[in-house]
Amino acid sequence: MKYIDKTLKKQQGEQIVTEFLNCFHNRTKAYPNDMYKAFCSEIDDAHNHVKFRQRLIDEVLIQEQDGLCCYCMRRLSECKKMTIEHVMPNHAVDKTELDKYRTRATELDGLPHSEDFKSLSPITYPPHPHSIAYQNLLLSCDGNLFNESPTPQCCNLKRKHTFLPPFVLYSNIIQTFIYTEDGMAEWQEDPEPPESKGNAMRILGLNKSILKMVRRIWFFCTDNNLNPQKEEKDFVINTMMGYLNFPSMNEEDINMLLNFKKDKYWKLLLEYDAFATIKHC
Amino acid sequence: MRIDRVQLHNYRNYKDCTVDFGSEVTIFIGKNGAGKTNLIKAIKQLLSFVFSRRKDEPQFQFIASSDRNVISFKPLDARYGKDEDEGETEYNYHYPIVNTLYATLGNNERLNWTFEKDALTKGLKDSFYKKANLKFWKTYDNGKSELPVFAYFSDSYPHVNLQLSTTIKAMLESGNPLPRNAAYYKWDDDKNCTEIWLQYFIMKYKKSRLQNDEKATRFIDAIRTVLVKCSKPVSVYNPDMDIALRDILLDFRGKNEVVVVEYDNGTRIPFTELPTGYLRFFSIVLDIACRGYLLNENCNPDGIVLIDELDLHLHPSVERTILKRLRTTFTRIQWIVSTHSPLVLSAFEQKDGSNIIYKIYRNETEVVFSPIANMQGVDASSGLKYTMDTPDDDSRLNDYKEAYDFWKSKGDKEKMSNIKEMIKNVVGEKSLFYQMLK
Ligand SMILES: [Zn+2]
Repeated sequence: MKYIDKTLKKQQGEQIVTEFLNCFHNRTKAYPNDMYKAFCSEIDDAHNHVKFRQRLIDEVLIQEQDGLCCYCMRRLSECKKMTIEHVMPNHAVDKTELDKYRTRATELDGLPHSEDFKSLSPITYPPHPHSIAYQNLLLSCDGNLFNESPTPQCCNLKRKHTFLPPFVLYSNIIQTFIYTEDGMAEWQEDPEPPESKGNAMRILGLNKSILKMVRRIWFFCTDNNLNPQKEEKDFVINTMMGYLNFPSMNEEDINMLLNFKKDKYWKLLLEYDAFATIKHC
Repeated sequence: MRIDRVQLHNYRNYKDCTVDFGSEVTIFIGKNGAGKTNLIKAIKQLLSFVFSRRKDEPQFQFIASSDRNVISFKPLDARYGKDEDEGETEYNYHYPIVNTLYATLGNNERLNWTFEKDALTKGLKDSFYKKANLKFWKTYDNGKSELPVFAYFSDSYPHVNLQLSTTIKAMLESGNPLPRNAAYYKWDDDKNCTEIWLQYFIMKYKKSRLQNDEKATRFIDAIRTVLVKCSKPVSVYNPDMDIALRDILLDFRGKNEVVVVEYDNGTRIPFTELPTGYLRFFSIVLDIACRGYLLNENCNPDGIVLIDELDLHLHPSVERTILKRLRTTFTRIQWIVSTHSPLVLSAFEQKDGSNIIYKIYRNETEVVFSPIANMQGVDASSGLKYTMDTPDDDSRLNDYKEAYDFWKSKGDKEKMSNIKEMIKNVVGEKSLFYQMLK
């Protein structure tokens, strides 16, 4: 995870959402019941079919995140599908739950719950309803590491609607969220009350042993001037094997490392090239 | 309770044989006819010492209403053969049959007992197991404290259903809880008791839902939890089972109430119509869980489980992980299993004393049990290859070897020794594979 600055492209982001609402209203003389669903559909705008969701992704979100998953940092272009992460869950059953987010991040402050939006009088925007508000939307991978298993391993789809503080909107996350040399994601100092300690990693699956190993290999390479994009995978792994010693690495870790001799694991490793430039502690 | 050693003399195809068990898992690998099934039969029979029904014994109360008893040898249990080295010229049945089991009870007390039959017309000598029987029941407070579960799954399990006796049918229809000793009902039978457990589940489910019966709810929840848990992924690099259960509940099919399982994706199918490949696994889990709950009101019992042909009728995704699944679901059980399949061993870690793998085969005169230092430690180049295909995960060792050779070619002794240490940890110091590293 790293900080995502939602102020830089705020104007463009809000512009697209405003256009969507205007366009929908012009056509139907009403606002959608299911905001996000409508946002995802194709809107017939004076015979121009516009996919607002896709526009927002292409013109704003993907650039804002340097093309990386907001949580695990996987290159989004390599995922079978990228998904939109609602920082405040789209289907927040309890409306007061939104307050838990609004009080934690100024960007989210003032966004109305989508269900309350239509009863505003007069209806003015921005701020946009929470399920389509640009500030509440991030791009996440689909958690499908090998693009084959139906069970999401990490990130947005793993989280579902669970409460998760808006960590990536905290500008100080770079000091609090760290990676250890062996690839573990940890809080240096927990930005949240103790009850949430460790929860974020579990909710997002960030310390799945496969993801830990991806990072561990990258860190090892950086520390030893190896470039996984240029070297043969067997060379990298054999080299790394020599530097490990028991019991700093248990059998399960070693087995995981050796998995990366398989093409599909190596391909996954390369999809996490963002870690080439990230320092471990 | 766990069993530590069995000794067989003149029993079926065994002339003399001693086998030590791992405290957690013992696996016998071998071809059909090598004697795996006979070994398991002998253990089953020896465990029946618990069910002595003499009126003057303190456990009589507990046993009396059950169908259990000490099991005698059958005529064909005597070894049939011609021992030429002993001057025999004709085929004979050999007596005495002398089988002994060594065990450790829950309080770490050790005991052993013998089933002996001196001739075809003689019975079991009860003085040879009576002392152990008394010790057992004394340790378990005449059945008042937590008792060990016994379970056995034959190579035909669960494809042959037990015909329910009128007694058990009446018990299930009465709406009353089954007696505690029902936990041992037909435990050693080749046929499956699934029908009983499903009927019992239905009865308890209705009590729980219609009468808010707390005890019934606890039972239902315990069984549901176990069945759901055992279907969850066991580790990242083992493929998930294609079936993950979300719940087990009651559904109506026509007029009948049926126990159904609900998949993670919401699909529901009757338990008994689980796909082949999964039915055996889930039936085993249900059986152990129900017996455990009847005995001690929890589904993680202490006890001994015997499984003949662990790999039979299993979907490959289950086959690879069944041992791990069973062990994480029931952490206190001692597992004694036989198998043909190297896949079963692919996720298996060998540990001194707690886990033992035996290769079992017949030479001209006898059955040989040879402990395998480590399944993974045997590679093709060593010239010592077992009769079955080597598991995929053998390639793991080649990976280690490659890394070792990589550093050897660079002449870096320190790195070589790092890798050698890792290999030692995986395959053990005694394995050929480790010793071959120069
Ligand atoms: Zn991700």
